[in-house]
Amino acid sequence: MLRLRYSYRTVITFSENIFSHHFLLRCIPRESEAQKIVESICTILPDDKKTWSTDSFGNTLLTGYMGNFHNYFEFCSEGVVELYDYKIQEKLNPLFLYSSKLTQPMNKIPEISNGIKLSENGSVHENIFIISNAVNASLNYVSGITSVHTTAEEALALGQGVCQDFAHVMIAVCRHHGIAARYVTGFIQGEGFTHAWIEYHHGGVWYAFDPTHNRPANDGYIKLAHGRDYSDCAIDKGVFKGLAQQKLEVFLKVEQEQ
Amino acid sequence: MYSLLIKQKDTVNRWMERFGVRFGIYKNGVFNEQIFPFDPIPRIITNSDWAEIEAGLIQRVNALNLFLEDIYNEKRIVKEGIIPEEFIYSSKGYLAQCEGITPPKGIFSHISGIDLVQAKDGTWYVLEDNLRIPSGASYPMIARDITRKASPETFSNNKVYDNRNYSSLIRKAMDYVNVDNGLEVILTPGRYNSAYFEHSYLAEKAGVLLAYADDLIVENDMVYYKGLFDKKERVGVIYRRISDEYLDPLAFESTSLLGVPNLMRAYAKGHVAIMNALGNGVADDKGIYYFVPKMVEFYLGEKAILKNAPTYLPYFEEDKRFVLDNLKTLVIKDVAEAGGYGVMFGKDMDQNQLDNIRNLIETDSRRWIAQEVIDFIDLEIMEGEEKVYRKSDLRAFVVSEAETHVWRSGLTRYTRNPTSFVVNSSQGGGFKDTWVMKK
Repeated sequence: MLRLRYSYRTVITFSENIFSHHFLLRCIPRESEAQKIVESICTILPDDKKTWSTDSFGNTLLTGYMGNFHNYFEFCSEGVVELYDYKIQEKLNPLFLYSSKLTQPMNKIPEISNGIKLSENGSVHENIFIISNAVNASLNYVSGITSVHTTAEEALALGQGVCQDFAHVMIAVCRHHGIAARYVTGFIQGEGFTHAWIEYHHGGVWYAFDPTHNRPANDGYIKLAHGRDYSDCAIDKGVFKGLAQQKLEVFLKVEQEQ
Repeated sequence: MYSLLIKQKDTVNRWMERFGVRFGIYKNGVFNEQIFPFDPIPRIITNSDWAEIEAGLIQRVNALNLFLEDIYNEKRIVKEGIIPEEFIYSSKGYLAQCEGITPPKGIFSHISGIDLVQAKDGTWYVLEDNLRIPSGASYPMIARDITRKASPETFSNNKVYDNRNYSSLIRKAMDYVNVDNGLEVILTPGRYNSAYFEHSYLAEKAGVLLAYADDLIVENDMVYYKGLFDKKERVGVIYRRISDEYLDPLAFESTSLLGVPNLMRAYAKGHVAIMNALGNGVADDKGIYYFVPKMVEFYLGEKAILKNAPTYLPYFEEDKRFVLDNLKTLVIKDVAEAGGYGVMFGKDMDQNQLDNIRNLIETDSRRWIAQEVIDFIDLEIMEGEEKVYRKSDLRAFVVSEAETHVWRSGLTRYTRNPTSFVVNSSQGGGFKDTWVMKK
């Protein structure tokens, strides 16, 4: 068991006053047998009025509305989680076998998928390594190169991407080979920004893999949300009125609890 | 029986124009409003034909509502092998975000537009179900209004069902699902929508508010209407004329300016009714259409009263072989398209096009359906002073509340092009009044 304290803070500063601001956050860790929440609080500024709910994937949502003028928006999610073996027992929802908006195959996904030779008598876990090796051979990590709208196909065509793109391509290839896979957002120890990895389903259990680091996501992964792809689990979404430039700052700290 | 109407044709058309019976259309990115051509000769449906249509439509829409409830919850129909799961999860209209949500009173499709054609042997066939935002009811409403004024004798001499109750049917459906007795609104994307005329007309007739996205606001998972001086009033039901993907920028298409942010949260918590419900597209997908008679049997334990046009799913190997062997006599439809787009007649295709479609069916079989071309009856229309025959269909409107009602009227559309089978108004067709006879 690993006990981690996390503190995640996002500050958006607007160059002018904005109003009529709606937001939707998925910034609260998700409870499961692999992850127990010991402590969790979330504060939102300048106005801490928020509503709790759950989306259809079971992710916790915080939503709210700030009607009046404001020129900054800040949320801070903090707490302590206990991490156990990253295995989540759950009956398969067949949805995760089918392609989704951001993982839709065109030419590149079938091409890379067909080029991968999976071991026939090896385990799914071995095959996941084979897939991840192929994904890593086709993508170079380049910070900030893609956007939240980039699809798996586009990232492959570019040959570059961030953790989101590694996860999308990996998911698309898994689904192509009939392995159910889903997208996960969260935090990892030792990195100053949010991260994305995947879960794959085998024998009634979801296992986790981190294609960006090309390793199983076993230790120090705090999970926030999952879905078919990024669009189901964006951590922070908002719309507002006003003509303003925005500056985004993210502060993330994950430390082992003594 | 309707000769007086033909005499009054010019008067009727002038009034139509004055009332602004229009239809917006985008061509090459430019928005144009056109007069929706009206033909004075009504389509007449006998009382006995109607009795069968009505019973069949009620049965069909009830089954479709049960299907939607099942798909977003237990999925019995998939588990029991009636419908392959691929048809659900690969459907563009399936919304995973709606899993587990049962809307107020369990109704998904409050207003259904079912497209029918009558074959030359008199049999009625269902061509398409429209369970998202079926439009067009306002046209026969206003046409009847005007023809009654132009020739009152016609309607005292003929026993035709009055069709002026459509707005009260809609209103009753809104009242029935209204949450906490809130305001009732029709949500329009605005005047550059092809059916804006209808939105404003229905709001006026049903006595509900016509709202734009900006008028609605979600706070604490409740929907409010911002009235004068920003006074907020709780909204209980939204008859929305904005499609699912634009309805809530935080749940769906994030670039949408037409939507109401976080409306999905209020809806998921059961704090507002949305008609029609979100995610209905999974049930009116052209691929799912094939399974509707099976749904009737599965959920209701009855045989379907109304027939589907004979349909083949290349997804099934046997059907695929049949379709590829008989391409020239069939009509091929792209399941993802609507409004008469993506419809191809084998008989009109040259060798190149046939090879192309053959290839597409082989590689992406789930995307296509093939149907036999029904030789449907031609209806008389006036072209100048001359009577000519044209293909037509009928969109029947079915309203579901505590009970399911079929509006005794409907939108009869006809093609103006003598060789065309496609009657969609977006493809330049016209419309007629539809008379359902009392005896």
